[in-house]
Amino acid sequence: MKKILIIEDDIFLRDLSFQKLKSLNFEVFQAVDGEEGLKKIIEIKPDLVLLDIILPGMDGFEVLKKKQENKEISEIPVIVLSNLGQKEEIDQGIKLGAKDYLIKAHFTLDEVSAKVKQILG
Amino acid sequence: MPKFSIFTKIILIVFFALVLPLLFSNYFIISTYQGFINKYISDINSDVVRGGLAPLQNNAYLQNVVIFSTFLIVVFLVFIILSRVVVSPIKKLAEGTKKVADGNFETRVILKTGDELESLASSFNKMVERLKEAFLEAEEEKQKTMGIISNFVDGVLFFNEKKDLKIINNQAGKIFKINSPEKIIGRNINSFKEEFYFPLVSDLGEQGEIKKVIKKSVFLKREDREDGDFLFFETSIVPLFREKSLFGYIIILHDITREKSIEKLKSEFISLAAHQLLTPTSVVKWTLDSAINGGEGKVSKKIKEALERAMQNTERVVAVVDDLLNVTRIEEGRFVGEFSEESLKEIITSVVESRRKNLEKKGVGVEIISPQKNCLVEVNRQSIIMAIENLLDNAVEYNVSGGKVTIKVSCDNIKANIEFIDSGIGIPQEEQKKIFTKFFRGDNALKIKSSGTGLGLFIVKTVIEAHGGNIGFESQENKGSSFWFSLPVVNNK
Repeated sequence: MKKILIIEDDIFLRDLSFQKLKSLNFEVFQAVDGEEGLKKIIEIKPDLVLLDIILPGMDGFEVLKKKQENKEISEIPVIVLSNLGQKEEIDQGIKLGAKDYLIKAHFTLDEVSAKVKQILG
Repeated sequence: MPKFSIFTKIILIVFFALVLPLLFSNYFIISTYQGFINKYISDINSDVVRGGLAPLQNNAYLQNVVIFSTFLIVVFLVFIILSRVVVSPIKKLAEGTKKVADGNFETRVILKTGDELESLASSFNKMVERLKEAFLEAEEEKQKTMGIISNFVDGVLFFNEKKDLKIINNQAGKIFKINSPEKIIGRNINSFKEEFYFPLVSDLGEQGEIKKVIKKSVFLKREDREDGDFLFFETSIVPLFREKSLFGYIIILHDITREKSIEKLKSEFISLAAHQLLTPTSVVKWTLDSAINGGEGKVSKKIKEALERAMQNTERVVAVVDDLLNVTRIEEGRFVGEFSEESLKEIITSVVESRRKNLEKKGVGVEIISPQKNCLVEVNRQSIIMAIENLLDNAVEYNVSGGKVTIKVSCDNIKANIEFIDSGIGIPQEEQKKIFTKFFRGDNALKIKSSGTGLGLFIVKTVIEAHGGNIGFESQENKGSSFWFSLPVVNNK
């Protein structure tokens, strides 16, 4: 069973994506901020990370940066799932190694799930 | 002295200096020799004759010397008078003129000759007075201008037609970190490559004669400051002309650092507000989507329809927030990103393709009329796609069922034109003026689609103008509209 880590501070969005991915037979983990997220990436070594950008404390970009610097976890694919959708932010996310950058409000959960499945093969 | 004209004076001088002495001397000579002849005739046989003519001759010789000397003295005196009467005033005038030419405007020439020279001196004095006034006025203007320039909040530089620096104000000195700006006056623009890192300044150096004002809306930033701060400038080159011939350039460096930081705060605020709005909207959207697709249990047809309406309006919120973010970016001048060479036909075809489903749903046909030749333009692909999408969506959205949209592409060596001709509802005449303003929506458009943000055409216009293009339209209510825009083409093809 593939492991997915959701790093999202909004309880509703976290719950919705948790339920959705669980229903698709993934083993789903959750983190509510960047620090916890990074810790869990190292601990769990998930197959994919869904990462929000605006997070309390360490933000999503910093998580991406720290992940990139840590060779043990640098290869784990990350999909940024954020409502920050300016060109500069998308460019920064991709530059920091994100596989994809999805704007939450522009996608439905079904579409997000399709992207997840696509990346996990 | 009696008042005589110069002409009369010369006549009098000639008369007294030449004619009168000549008449007198002739008279004396004649009378002397007459006496001598008379005496010779009476004494013809006297001792005098025997004794020779010498005494008489001596007497005549003495008289000649006296006459000639008198003649010389009279001529000398007359010339002295002549020089006093005519030459001396002219000399005075010449001296006065020289002093004025040397910049002494206090000089006055006082002549009491009573002739033309006196009135010439008086006119000369008036002229000097006027000259002094004009000079003082010019000096005052110069001081005023220099006062304004040196205390101007913007950096100001003046280069002459050879592009040598003639004026630099304190602010420009500060911007370029030059402690004593006056020391660099006289240097050519091309010798400032290192100090004046501003592209606009080096542009002036590398270009030939600049005929038109270059006012770039792009701003430049200085990154080499030790304190790590960024300075933003809006710069302009203003060529100056005197009777149609160029005599120099003014460069103005307008510091917009403060505005930029305010803009940045505003942008951060809007970005944050948009984010805060979009997060709950995403929750609603995801929940609705799940419910519509049966993820929350079976729903009746009626409830499903209601959920779909809610979904549509959630999308509307997302669209409004997106447009607001775009408008903010436009107003910050950072909406249009990097430019690349693109084929207009290819972009249009791909946009039409991406809208295929919507076209079929609406039953609107699209025809693209494009020349064989590829119209290449230097554009920011994403924003031009957005502009074309907007115009195509409008042409479809406000069309009639079964209607038609024609997209005409044409280009020459200078520009490419793209026209969207629809058979739609058109824009009421009285509303046409406001069509490109923010948040404007036509009355008849509102009846068809209530959910538009009224920002689309504003964004399109801004995008096109940011590319150096133009946009316009013609429309007739109930018949259709034709929106067109032009873009400069890539010229080397």
